[in-house]
Formats: sequence, structure tokens, C-alpha cells
Amino acid sequence: MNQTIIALAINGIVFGLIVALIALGLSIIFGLLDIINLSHGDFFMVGTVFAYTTLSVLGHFWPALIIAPLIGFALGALIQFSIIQRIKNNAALSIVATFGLSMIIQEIVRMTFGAAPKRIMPPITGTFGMFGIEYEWYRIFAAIASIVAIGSFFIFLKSTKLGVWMRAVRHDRDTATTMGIPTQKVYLFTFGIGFAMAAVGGVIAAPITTVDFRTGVDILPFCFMAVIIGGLGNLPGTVAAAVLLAFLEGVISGFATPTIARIFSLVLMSSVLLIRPQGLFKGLTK
Amino acid sequence: MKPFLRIENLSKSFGGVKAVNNLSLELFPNRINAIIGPNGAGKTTLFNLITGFIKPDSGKIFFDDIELTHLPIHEISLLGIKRTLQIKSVFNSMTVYENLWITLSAHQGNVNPFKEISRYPEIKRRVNEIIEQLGLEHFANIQAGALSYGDVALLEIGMAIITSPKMILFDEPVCGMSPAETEKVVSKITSLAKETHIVIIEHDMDVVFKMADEIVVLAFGSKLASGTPKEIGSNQQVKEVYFGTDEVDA
Amino acid sequence: MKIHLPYAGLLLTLALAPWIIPIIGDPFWLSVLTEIIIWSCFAASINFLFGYVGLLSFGQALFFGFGMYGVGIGISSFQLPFWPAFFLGPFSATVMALITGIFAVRLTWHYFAIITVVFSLIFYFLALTLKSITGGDDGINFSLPDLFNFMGYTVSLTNTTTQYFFTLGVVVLCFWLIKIVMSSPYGRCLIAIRDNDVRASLIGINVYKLRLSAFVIAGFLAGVSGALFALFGRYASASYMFYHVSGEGVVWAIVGGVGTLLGPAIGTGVFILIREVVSSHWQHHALIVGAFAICIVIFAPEGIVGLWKKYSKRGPK
Repeated sequence: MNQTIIALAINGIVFGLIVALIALGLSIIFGLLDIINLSHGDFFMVGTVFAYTTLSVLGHFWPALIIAPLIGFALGALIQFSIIQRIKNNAALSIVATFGLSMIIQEIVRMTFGAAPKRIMPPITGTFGMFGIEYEWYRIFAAIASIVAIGSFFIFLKSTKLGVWMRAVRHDRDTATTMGIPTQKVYLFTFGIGFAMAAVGGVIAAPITTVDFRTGVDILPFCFMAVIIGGLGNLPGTVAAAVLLAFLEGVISGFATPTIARIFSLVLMSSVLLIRPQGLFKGLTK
Repeated sequence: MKPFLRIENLSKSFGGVKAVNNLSLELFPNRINAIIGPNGAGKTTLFNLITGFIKPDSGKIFFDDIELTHLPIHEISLLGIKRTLQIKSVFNSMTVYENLWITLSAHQGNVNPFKEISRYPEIKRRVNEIIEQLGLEHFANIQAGALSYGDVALLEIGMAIITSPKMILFDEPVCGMSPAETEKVVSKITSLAKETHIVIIEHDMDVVFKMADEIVVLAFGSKLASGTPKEIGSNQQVKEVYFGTDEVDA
Repeated sequence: MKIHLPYAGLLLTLALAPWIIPIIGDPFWLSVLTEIIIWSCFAASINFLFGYVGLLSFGQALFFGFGMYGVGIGISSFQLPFWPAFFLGPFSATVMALITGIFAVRLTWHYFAIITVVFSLIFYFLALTLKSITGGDDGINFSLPDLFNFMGYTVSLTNTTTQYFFTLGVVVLCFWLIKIVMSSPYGRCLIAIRDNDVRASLIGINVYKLRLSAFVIAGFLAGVSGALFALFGRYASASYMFYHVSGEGVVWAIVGGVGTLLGPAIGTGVFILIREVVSSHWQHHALIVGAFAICIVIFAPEGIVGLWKKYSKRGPK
């Protein structure tokens, strides 16, 4: 029993890191574009499909880690250009638009990929002994890959010109424009990066979850929870919240059902919203 | 004579900056009181504290012996204390008529969900009265969102006076107005002062010195000086705070 | 009380539908129309909060669910007769709206939208957990008690036409209620809060209390539609409490036209019709629905009713 809890807890952390990657994408789209992106979970799902397709077409899993962000970025930029831009950052309309987008993405996947859930084998097999249990190597890889992706994202934000521009637009859109920052390009880029990050998360998660056109719907509320509990606009907070929530849910599901664990996270989230809407991790804000 | 507004040791900080610093103030009836001071002196913050937008860190506010300090905004309003805002804001999707209508209806605490709006002749009569008084006939059925800035300011004044309040706080009432509009507003406020307690924040010194009977100067959140326009006009400290020390005139 | 001509015309058409529809097509479409009417009430509850108060609720499915289960559990677990069961639905939804509203209404805009989702998810998962009572996603089935039983003359909703008129009557009453409320001082207060909540409190409106009351009204409306739905399908399932259902309602309301009386009905009608018409020929109707939603948002952000108003103003001069 003890060992199951440990396994569940570590699974939680691994899962939390993957979700953190996805939630960061959601957060920057929300923070810069004022868009509540209801299709963000589907971006993740598309990532899992990329993994499956790469594996079945090329015979290898690893290329997906390169293909997914590239195609994901292109798709994200395309969506921003053709749809999001025309709504002029109206949050209410963005809900309808991204809801419609979600329906379209799910249906396209259902048409091409099929309605039946599929599984893919982890590219790294085997387990090793840790804390008295046998733990899968792939999950450790998944955690590390997520950390690398998240780390790269933060370095990008801090050190590159585009990253600085993104932060400027997030802080004060109008001033950024008058300073000569090409805000339109920044929006394109932001949406592209958001999609790419979710897609990479999907690729990493594919071997440990099912590839199914509906997986986006389940992961979306979790991402929103991470963004809110972490604090809107607080990117490191989002990461911390995602990991914390997944860890707690993992542990609780050892004692009760996963559904009860989810209820717990939701109640925690309600409390945060009502008592401390700026999030739990205020101190980490840049 | 008793003061109608009494501020006792009022303090409010925003993240380390003391916007209002241990301010004590008394304003007396039967005169137009103006509050002036350089930017950041705490004038609008004071209005916000009085009307309940923000709660002070310490101190008390009394209106006619009723303590306002911890009351919510709408309760303070229902006591008969109305204000205009620095950035003029009204109900944009409603017409001028409807804006005035709801102001009066809300003041009467009317939340009847079943009676039709057209069945309130007394409110209609009073709204038309105000529209006439302020010369808003042309705009009565225009959406407030479509009005020019000066007309919105007029509407706001209409909304402030329609309930025949006990006290009105005007926050820069003539800001952005043409000389003709300014003249109209100044005479309106002056005539109001006979029945209502008036407190004005204003930057336009001509208007202040013309209208006010009593001026309070704020600087850095505290009271620097108070007195008649003549006294304030010759007060050296006041000049310094506005224009800086003039080293030529030693 | 005057009834405007367009409304009267619409009502007349709807009243004659059970006889018109079999002439022009399959009688099955009467059931579709009944469904449209039921869900219009749901969309109306969302529009009431968003269009008139400025609060976007993404969790109306919660109150729909309580309305639905109020009837379902009332009949299957408590063997209630028709009217008490039909009353229990909206009643429990209204109570839930009061309880959740006390907390939710303290927040605004994004946070309000999010907490409505969170609350609805909590109860969705609770409903899944309490599978023995709610039947979880599979749901519970039950048979319908008679509406009215007098001296051997029975009126029951198992008759499609009776069902249609019952549903139509209830929903028309709800829309009429909305119209009356919005033409009242209370309704004006709500609009004031929507336009400028700071100004609203400055003129003496208790913004919190009014928002809460509006939230309760919206909860009631969603509960009514849930109860009607349960009666329609003799079925209640937790899957109708999922946030996706709320999302659809939001889409219908916004596409129909936010802040208008008939907008929610039109939006609901359009989407359900598209779904039914397309799905009989092509299984991928979701593509059309999604594309349609996006097009409306880009080209007609005021919704269908907004478009109508714009063109009828420009009309023959």
C-alpha cells in the first residue's frame, strides 16, 4: 500500500510536469492575448496524435519531439492569423471561437485518426528499483524532458529579443506598441508557441496515456486550475501549481478514487479563487 | 456652526506611499468648499475614502454625525451623498433619460421586478425637470456612450443633483469643458450650494477662486492650509507647493 | 399589456407546429422542435446573466443537472407524482443557485467564469461518484407519471403533442417572465450593473445582492430546462452536468445575440437544426457546427439577432 502511494505520488509529479508545460502555453495565450482558449486541451491531444503517427509512419518515436513543436507552432500561428486576430482580443467571443475550434479539431482527428483509443509503447522500456518499487524508466525521461522544455521556455523568455517583447506586451500592451514592438507578430508567435508547447507535452505524454480524440477535454480543466492557482500571469507559479495539484491528486487517489482526488483539487481551487484570487504563489512573480 | 463633514486623523497608504497622511479636516455648511493641491496630493483619494471606494488604514469620517468610515459604497450613497468622478463615467448603453431615470429610481431603493418602467410618472417628471435645467433636451434619447465628453460631464452632474442630495462631491467638474459650458456649470453649482453641501476638487484656479468660499489646500496627503480665496492666494507656502521656491524672489 | 406583432406571429406559428410539421416533413421534427424549446430555456439562463448583468457563467449545466435529477430522482427514488416531481427540479436548482451564488457572485469576469466551471465540475464528479443514486454517466431511466388523471381521462406527456404543448407553455412563460423582469426597475438596475458596476453602487445599488438574485433567477431557468429535459427523455444522466454542456449553451446564446430576448432561442434553434439536418446526411456535423460558430464570431459578433436589427434598421427608406 505504501509503495503504491509512492508510485502514485511520483506519477503525479511526472504528470504535473507535463501539465505544467501545457498550462504555460495556456497562460501566455491568456496573459498576452486575453483569450480564454477552450481548444488548448485539444492542442495537447494533437500532440499525442503526432507521436502515434510519427511512430507508425517513421517507425521511431523520437522524431516526434522535433516534428510536433514545429508543426504545432505553424498551426498555432495559422489559427491566430485566421481566427483569433479577427476577434480583436474580445474574451467572450474568444470563448465561442475556441469552442468551435475545439469541435473542429476533435472532429478532424476523429475523421483521420479514428474514434477508437490507441496506445503506443514507450520508446524506453524497463524499470529500475527506487524507494522499494519498480519504476518505469520512461516516466523519468518524461519528467526530465518536461523540465528541459519548461526550462528552455523560461530561458527563451528572459534572454531572447522575442521573449523580452512577449514580456513587455504582457505587462503593458499599449506602451509596448508605442515603443515600436511589433505586437501583431508577438501575438502570432505567442499562439504558435502555446500550441507547440502543448503539442510537445502531448508527445511526451503519449506513451503513458491513451491517444484518443477526447483526451483534450479532460486535461483542459486541469490546465486552467494550474493557471489560476498558480496565479494569472505568474508563470513559475503555474508550474508549481501544476506539479503540486498533480502530486496531491496522485497521493489522494491512493486512498480514494481518482474522481475524489479530482474533487479535492476542485475544492482547493474554489478556495483559492475566493480567498486569494491572485494565486498561491505570489512571491514567485517576476 | 457645526461642520457637515468631519475627517479625523485619516490615513491611507498604497504600497508604501502615504496617499493620505493623518489628515484632519472640517467643512462647514452654507459655503462652497474647494479642495485643491498639486497632483498626488491625495484629493481624489480623499473623495474615494469618503464615498467608500476604499477603506482607510486609520481614522474616521463623519457626515452630520453619521460615521461613514466602514460603510459600503451604496449605503453611503443612499444617505444622500453623491459624487461625480474624475474620469467621467455613466451607463453607456442607456440613453441620457434612462441614466437619470435609474439614478433616481435606485436612490429610492426601487428593485421592483414586476412593475413596468413607464408606470412611474413621478420619476419621469423629475427626470424631465433635470433635463430641462441642464439643457440636455437634444440628447435625452441619445445613448450616453455616444455623447461628447462635455455632455457626459453634464449628465453626470444631472445624475448627482436629481435626487436632491444632502452633499455632492464634484471631482473636477469643469475639466475638459468649453468656457461656455464651464460658465453654465459654475452657475449651476453656485445655485445648488444654497440647498446642498458642496465640496469641489478643481485644478482650474480661475474657477476655484471665483466659486469657492473656503479653500483647503492638500499636499502630500496632509492639510497644508485652509482659508478664504484671498488668504490662500497670498499664502507663501501654497505658492511654493505649486510653483516651487523662486530663488530670484528671495 | 401589449403583445408585439412579431412575438404574436412567432407564438402562433409555434402553436400550430404540431399540425404544420407533419405536412412538410417527418413528424420526428416535432420532437426536435421540443428539444430546441427546452434548450432555449437553458441558453436563456446563460443570456440572462451574461447579456443583462455582464456575468459569464460557464457552469449553468450544474443547475440544469439539478433540475434534471430533481425530477429523475423524485420519480424513481421517491415515487413522486407528476407535479411534485416537476416542482422539485427547478426548486432544487434554485436552492443550489442561491448556495453557490453566495460565493460565486463575489467574483467578477474571468474569475467568476472560472469558479462557475469549478463548481459545476465538483458536482459533476460528485454525481459520478454517487453512481447508485444518479446512475453516473449512464444515467437513470424512469417512466413518466401522468400529468393529469380525472375520471378516466388521462393526460400524459408520453403523447408527443401533449409533451410539445406542455414544454412550449412552460418555456413561453419563462421567456415572458424574463421580458417582464427586464422591463422593470430591477431589470434596469441589472443593466446599470452590467454597464458600469462602480457607477451602479455610487447611485445606491447593492451590486452584490442584485447580482446574487440574478444568479438565482438564472439558476431557476436552467433548472426548468433540466426538469423539462428529464420529462422529455424519461432519462437523467450526469453527462449533462459536464462543462461541455454549459459551453454549448454559451455558444448558442452568443451566436443568437447577447442581451436580446429571443437571441438564445434563435441561437439554440440554429445549432440544433444544423446538427440534426447535417447529421442525417453526414456524420461529421461537428465540423459544420464549429465552423459556423467561428464565422458568426468573426463576421457577426452581435449575433444573429444583432444582424437582423442592423439590417432592419437600414431597411426600406
